[in-house]
Amino acid sequence: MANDLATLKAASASLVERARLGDQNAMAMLTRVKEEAAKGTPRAKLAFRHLMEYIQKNPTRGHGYVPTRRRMGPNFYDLIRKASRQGDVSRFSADVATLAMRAEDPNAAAVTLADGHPLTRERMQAIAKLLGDEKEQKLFYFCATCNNGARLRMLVQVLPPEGLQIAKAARIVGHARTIQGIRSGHMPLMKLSPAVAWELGE
Amino acid sequence: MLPLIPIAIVGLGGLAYWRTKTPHGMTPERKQIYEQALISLKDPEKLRTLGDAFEKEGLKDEATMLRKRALLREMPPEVRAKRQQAFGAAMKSKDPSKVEAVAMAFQNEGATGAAANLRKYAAGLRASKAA
Repeated sequence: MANDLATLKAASASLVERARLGDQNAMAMLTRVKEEAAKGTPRAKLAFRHLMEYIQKNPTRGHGYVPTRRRMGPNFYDLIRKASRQGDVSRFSADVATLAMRAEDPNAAAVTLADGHPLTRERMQAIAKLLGDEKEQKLFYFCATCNNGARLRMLVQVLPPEGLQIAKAARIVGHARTIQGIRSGHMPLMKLSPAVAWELGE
Repeated sequence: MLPLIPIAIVGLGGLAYWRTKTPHGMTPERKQIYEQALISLKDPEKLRTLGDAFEKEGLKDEATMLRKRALLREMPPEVRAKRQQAFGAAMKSKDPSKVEAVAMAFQNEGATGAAANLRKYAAGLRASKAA
């Protein structure tokens, strides 16, 4: 019973903090607890009392307050790592496309993504489809496969902001795919860099 | 008897003028030529010729690097295959220090492009782990 009580207290604190950060699942659970307590369910009444206690002892410090000494979840590269291991192609492509456009360090994002599922033609197509129509898809494939830095730099100068996002995502996915290809030995070094291919005598 | 002192003065003056007019060491133009050669010059003979020209200007390190690059294309096929394997193995590694060690080995052999790509990969590994 005491153990159950401690669990309930800990859950109350977690629920309140998550709701304060905008977690809609937590908000829905709090509403449900309140409704059940109003109906007279004993366990819900107890939980509601703990929730109110916690809220009164720990008033909010403003919307969006994040405690500084607590880690509030996985970091960006953990999210990429998790997305890259998704077996389901549609979830994989949705997560990878979203994260690739948000990446601040494209090189690190590509290296992390390369450790996940092989970026097969099917997965590349699924990502490209999410990024837009035929024009955007062409841009995605061009940027994902181009190994000429000068051409890419010229292209980036004339692209609109939405195009830049697609180009960034494509560079990350394309570089990750090249790393996977070099690791497996099925991709020529020329795809990574013509200079490397020349130096290593390919 | 020739007046040696005026001749010596004129000679030294001429030498000083030549030294100030002809730039020595690494100038911005030479640096640009050197960097461009590392990226795009593929002919071993041209690399050696350029290396000799840099040597004459006292740029020994650059001359050595250009000569090393000339040698890269003249390696026997089995050595080339081993170098490709080493590069592939480094790209599989998850340890940035080991990748950087391989990058340094490639750099010392004149393979600056391979070294740069491995250093970039190692930087990606470090950033991914550190975050």
